[in-house]
Amino acid sequence: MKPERRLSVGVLGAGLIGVDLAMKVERSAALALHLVAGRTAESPGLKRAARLGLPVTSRGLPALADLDEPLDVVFDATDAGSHAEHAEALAPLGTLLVDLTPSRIGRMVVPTVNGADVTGHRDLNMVSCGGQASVPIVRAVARTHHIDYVEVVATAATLSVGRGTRLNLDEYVETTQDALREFTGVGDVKAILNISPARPPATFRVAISLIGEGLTSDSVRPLVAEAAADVRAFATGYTVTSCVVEDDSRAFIAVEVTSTGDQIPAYAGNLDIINSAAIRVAERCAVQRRPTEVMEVAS
Amino acid sequence: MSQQAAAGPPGRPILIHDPTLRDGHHAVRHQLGREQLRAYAEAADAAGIPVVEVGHGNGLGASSLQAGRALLSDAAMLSVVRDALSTSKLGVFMLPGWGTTEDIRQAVAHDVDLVRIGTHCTEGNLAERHLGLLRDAGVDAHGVLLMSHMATPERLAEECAQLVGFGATGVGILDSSGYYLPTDVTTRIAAIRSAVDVPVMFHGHNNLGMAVANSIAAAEAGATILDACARGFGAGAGNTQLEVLVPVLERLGYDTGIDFYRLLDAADIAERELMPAPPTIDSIGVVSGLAGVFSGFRNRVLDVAAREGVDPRDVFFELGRLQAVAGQEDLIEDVTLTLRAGSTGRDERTASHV
Amino acid sequence: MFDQLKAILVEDLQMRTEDVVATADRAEVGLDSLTVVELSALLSQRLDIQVSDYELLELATVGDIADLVAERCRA
Repeated sequence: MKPERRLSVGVLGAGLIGVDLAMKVERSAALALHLVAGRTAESPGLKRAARLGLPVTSRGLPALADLDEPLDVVFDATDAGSHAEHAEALAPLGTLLVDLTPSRIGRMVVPTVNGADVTGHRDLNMVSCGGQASVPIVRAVARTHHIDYVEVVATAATLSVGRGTRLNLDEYVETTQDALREFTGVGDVKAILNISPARPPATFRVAISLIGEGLTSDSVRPLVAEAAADVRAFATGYTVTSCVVEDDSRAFIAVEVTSTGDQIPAYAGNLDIINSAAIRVAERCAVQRRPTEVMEVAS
Repeated sequence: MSQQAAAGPPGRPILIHDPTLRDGHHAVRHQLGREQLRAYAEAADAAGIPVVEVGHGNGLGASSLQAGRALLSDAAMLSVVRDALSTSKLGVFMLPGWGTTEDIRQAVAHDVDLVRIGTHCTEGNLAERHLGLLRDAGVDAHGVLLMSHMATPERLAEECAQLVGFGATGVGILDSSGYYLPTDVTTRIAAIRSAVDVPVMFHGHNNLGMAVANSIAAAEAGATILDACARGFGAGAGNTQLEVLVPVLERLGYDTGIDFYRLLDAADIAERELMPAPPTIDSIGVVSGLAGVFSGFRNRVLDVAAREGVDPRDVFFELGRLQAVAGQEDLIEDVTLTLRAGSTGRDERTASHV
Repeated sequence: MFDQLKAILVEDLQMRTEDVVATADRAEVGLDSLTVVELSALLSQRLDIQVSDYELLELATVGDIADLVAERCRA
């Protein structure tokens, strides 16, 4: 692949999410990392990014907006409350925004469900870690079963939950619920987030409970397995650990996600799945913008 | 207490906080109805119990398959109990990640007097935003730490100091598993007392028969808010028994301001109206306490273990080993399936902590 | 073992050599929750030992970390 044909990428935010994203961009054949923009020079994340040899700036958003050539893609890995301002500043430049905060602003994308929606939207929202881990499975079951109620309980290890997420718990809950409603058509949904300090740290886990009609082991298990295999194509640590169906009316499905990136520990699958999904979306965008590269990138 | 002649100087004041209509919900799968709530709230109000807390067992917004779906909505519970109280304050509880700001707004609109924001004992900073919001709204807000046996006294003191920084006007610890012995409580409350200037609370469970003794240890170490429930109505083996704690405190020279006979009447009403039977320390209760597992897990553990033919005692000890926190009821399914697979040699991988 | 750890802290993690002493507080030298993940990976690459990020976070000083590293190397 010719380097100049890669999409130019900026990462806004140098926390847990931002630095891992930047490393994933570096590994992508379709994306070229131009800048990681932190908002404070002394932040440990930005220093770490610099040590890892990534191009960094502490000038934040202006550094990304002032480049001579506008970036093709900017990942927003800051916080939900800042995203509107970032979108406003970058929109005139034609940059595609991929938002990893639960801002509820851009078009929500879950790659295996509506990955095609990346065209025609300039601001894509990656929902939440719990949303990325649950929507593909709930959607698969809800397409062929009548589902009355969906509940998604995520548990993340305390070390994998940064301050931004801690302050955005309400947004996590609301965004995850929005995505479940939108992509599954089920109106009655509930999302819950637990933070675990267990040692060794608990692997990121999402428990899905469904109430509906005609749910049987034979009808549910293959759908769950297939949906999980699709997600595993880009998030290799995604595993179904339990699938229990009772009384034709209730299903319980537990999923665990381990991180396979070398810059975040294995238990932090919550970071891995949303970042992997974001990279997948940006790569898909690269495919659609540069038809000649379809074969290389999509493989 | 009005029925006992007050001898000597006035006692040291202590504030009794009554979560019978919140924690008790765990014991009846969150199925209390309007008449039940009203009957107890009116009786507690008549006895002069300072704070009556109501809600789903896990607090605002917590009605779910995970923790049990409540019969009544939060709004319905709040309006019934608000109407029933004339002098007692109305309290609610919320766990960030379960309830949201929207739930708090609704509670504030129902004129709640006190909101407790709970987090796991090492995760107090999850309460930063909600405590700040309540401080700005001028609502009394306390920060409380669940499953507090899982952290050292020093850590609990640091967390409580942080909660005060976020705006908490009171802080404290819950012995959510009923694990503590009195000396454990003494060191923890003393550490917290020396770290903060706001009132400190203690909330006991009775799995090891220590709830009253632990609450007294807390008071002697400087706690000035104690939780207790009528007949101990609460999760697992039950909470500190209210109508026992209050006279014991009075004998020790504390002043609760509660009318003793009316307190006993309220407890009798609770037993008659709210529960099929008062909580007892049965075998599962002992195991749950020893294992240090959240008391609210009890009913789901019994359900799932029975379904899978697994010894529920094994499930509790395994959940304790995995350091499950309150709210992780979903682990019960995986742990039980793993135990079943292990006992039958079936190759079904279900472990959740690898 | 302290010297090998110090080499990683100074050369790879770019800590100031004068700061890296056995009594130095882990947080003071800059070993926060992010950096311990890097240190964990570096210890695995350079010394072929497994020390988890959460284990490092539970240690108070650089000396404590050196002790744990020595213990793992012996095992």
